[in-house]
Amino acid sequence: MSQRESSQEYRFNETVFRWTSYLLVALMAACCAWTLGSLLNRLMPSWQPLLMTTVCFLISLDSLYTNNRWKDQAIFSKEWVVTFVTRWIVILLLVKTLTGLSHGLDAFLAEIPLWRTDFLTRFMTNDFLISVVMVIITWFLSGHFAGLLDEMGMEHALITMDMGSAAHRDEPLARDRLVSLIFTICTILVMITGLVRVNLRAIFAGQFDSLFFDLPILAGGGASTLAYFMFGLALLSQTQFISLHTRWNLAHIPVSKKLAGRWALYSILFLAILAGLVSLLPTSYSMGLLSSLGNLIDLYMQFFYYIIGFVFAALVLFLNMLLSLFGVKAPFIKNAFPTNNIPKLLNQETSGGSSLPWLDIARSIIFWVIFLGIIFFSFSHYLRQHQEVLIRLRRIPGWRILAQFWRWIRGKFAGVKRGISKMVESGLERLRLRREPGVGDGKGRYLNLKRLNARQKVYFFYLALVRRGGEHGLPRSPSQTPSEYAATLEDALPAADEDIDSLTGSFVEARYSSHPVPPEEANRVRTAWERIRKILRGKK
Amino acid sequence: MVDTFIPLLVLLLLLAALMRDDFAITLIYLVVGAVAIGTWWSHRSLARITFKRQFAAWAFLGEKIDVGIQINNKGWLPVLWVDIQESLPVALSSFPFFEHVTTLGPRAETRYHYTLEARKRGYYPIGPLFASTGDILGLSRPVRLQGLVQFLTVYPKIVPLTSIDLPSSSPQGTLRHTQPIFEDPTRTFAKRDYTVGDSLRRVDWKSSATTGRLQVKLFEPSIALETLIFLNLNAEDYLIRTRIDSTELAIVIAASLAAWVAGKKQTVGLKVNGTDPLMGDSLPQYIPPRKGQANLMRILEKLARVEMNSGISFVEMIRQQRYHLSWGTTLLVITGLVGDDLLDELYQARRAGQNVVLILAGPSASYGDISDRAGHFGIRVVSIPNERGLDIWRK
Repeated sequence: MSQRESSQEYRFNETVFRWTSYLLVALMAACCAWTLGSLLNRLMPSWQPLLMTTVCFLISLDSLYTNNRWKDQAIFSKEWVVTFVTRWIVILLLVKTLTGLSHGLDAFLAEIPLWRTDFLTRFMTNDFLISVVMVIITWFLSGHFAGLLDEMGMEHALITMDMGSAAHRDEPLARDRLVSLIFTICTILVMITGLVRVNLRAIFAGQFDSLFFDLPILAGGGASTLAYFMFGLALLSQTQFISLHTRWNLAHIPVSKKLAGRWALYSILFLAILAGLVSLLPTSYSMGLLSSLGNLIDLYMQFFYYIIGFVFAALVLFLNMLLSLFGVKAPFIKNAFPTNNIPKLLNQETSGGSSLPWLDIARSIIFWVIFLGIIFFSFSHYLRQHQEVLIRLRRIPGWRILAQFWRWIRGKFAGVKRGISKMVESGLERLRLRREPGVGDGKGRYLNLKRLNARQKVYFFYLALVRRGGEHGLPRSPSQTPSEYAATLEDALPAADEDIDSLTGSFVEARYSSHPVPPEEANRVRTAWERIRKILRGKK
Repeated sequence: MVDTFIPLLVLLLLLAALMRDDFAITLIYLVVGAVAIGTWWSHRSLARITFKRQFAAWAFLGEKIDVGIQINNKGWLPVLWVDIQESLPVALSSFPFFEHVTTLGPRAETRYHYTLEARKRGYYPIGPLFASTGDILGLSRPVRLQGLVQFLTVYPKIVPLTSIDLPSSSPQGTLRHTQPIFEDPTRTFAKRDYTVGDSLRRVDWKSSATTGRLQVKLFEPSIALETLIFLNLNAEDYLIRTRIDSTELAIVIAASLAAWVAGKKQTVGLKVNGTDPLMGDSLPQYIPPRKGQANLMRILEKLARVEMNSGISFVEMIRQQRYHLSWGTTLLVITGLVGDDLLDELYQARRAGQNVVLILAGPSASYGDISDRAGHFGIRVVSIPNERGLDIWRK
């Protein structure tokens, strides 16, 4: 692919990914507005979250689209002031109209004449002011997102490279700032969603027994916060592609044409699999951690109890049969087999769960395993990224013992894993062999020397020399060149000195030259090989 | 990157603990799942990638070597992106160095080709090949895999020589000679009438019967040229300013002489006090004199790999070796500077019946002086100040 084609392809990819990113940012802004709207709806029941969500989506798109134009204008210049003021007047009028219409057309029309009498109170209503604040936040956040997306593009990268600007060197990368921004907004949204679930009236009334509403997962801003996070992940995937692509282009590294398409496909698949997995995982538990652990141990004990019971029963049966041969009455008939008198499995905690107690236990165990796994993963991931913390931890007394214990556990698990893999691998190998009976019996490897051309014949005789040499205790080491191996053979077989040299020389010529090998050469090699073979037999 | 989602995770854990809410736990799963699955995917897919590099491991100077790289994804998990970067010696390649970014589907393979140019003799590592990838979201650090290193031997330059007059005292070889002392009874070139004093062994009875007069065979004199090249790569034995060029020239001379002798179907060997990176020690390297193309390739391989070093005495090396050489062997001694001890050693070799040719590689200000001193001992001296100097053997 030529440099020009590559550049054109890059431009196309960048445009597609930029517009996709804009759409994702606008959707994220809408999700934010919806979550905030859920809280406002809780405080002011007349609040219409859907309306402001739509407004924020459009405002965000507008901000993203016009961001580049704003950059071209000098700040506080006449042109800039005119554009800014007119734009915001239009936006404010739109917001006022929509907030007014949210109470009904008649109410809005009735409200208009009142603006003349008391403009500040009548025009600047609470819902209008809140909407304006939301619009302003959306506008500036979207502009910030657009700026970060621009920084990741090729144009900005080229400008930075040309300027060699030292001022930007200490600044974190645009993508890092974008990730930070997405997670920070997500944290705020989680707090808002948490607040929606808090029963504020109960707190103010001093009723602390019912502090939280028991809302479904998707209610009260839950759905929009989760959607924000999913859109955020999609945006991260897009920006990761574009920042990598920019870096590769700057370094003139050829990139596979298939990459852009596959990236989009795998992003969708990744998010779908993630969402699917998360939807399958248990999000509630009916038993605490210790109860789940206790039940797990009970289950384990019960299994062993049964095993021991069956072994004992078999023993008793055998003894009774043996004694019956001597006419003695069986003394061990009572309680010989395991009874139902086993440890009680279920704890009292499960009583409020589903109709299937086993399902409750399984769900709780899975929940706690995943939960502890998440904590462990986060902790280890954090330590891996912060080596300095790890170094400090290592200085704590007792850390060494813990580390040794951990290594021991890991070693055991690794051993078990290796054993299982080996077992599975050997099983699969056996199955493969059964399926392909012709592979191992050597019939398929029959070689007709007459069908080989002269070059192949030379190869054949040389390989025969190597094989026979190996059989006679003169193996060729993988690092040996043909001539080095010839020296080894010559030392051991001085009588075949000339023939070994000749055969090796012919092989080197056949292997590393492009000119045709004459059939006489192959015959000569054959004669040399036959002489060497005789000497090798004599050595035996 | 981890710093950005840790506060979110802590907050979610707090919410989950306080509220026991499905929403918080679902979001925890999403946050950790995104990082964990992404990281696992990149690690797992990279672990299933295999590389295979194919190229001719030996090349002559000036040849172009086509290197093929085959990248296989052995797993069922697709590889989102992989940046393949090859580490190459600058002596063989030039910018842009081989680097490609590709994507691999499940059980897929891709191939790349690039060309190396054998511009300088040597033993070069090709690789290691680095493959790096990362997660789809860019939340964890990129992971890197290092592939195998293979080696390429570039033979030294061989200047085709045509007219070298090397002395030899080994009788009955395949090379014609002028001195009748080296008559070869297998090479009859004429017959003449018997004269008194001719040995009866020389009488050709068949010709005598045919002609009716006693005829004797005349034999062509011939010699066998058993040659051992002593190559000095001790840095201290070369002028400091031209050390690198002179040692390289010495190697070219050794390779060209070895090729010429082997081309004449004579035995040739090599003893050099340089370092062979394959051997792992700095002892002198020795290839015993033998006939044939295989032995020549062995010598060329050694000359391709060998590097200049310091500390191994050249005179000591000759002294230890020459006792094992047969009478009449020709010693081709290639060095930079010549001291009295070397001349003394070469004189001893001459006294022991060996023929010595002293070849000075690189510029030498005292050639006349050395030539005079060597002349007293009956040692022939040839000065090759640069590669064009080899023309004296090409006329």
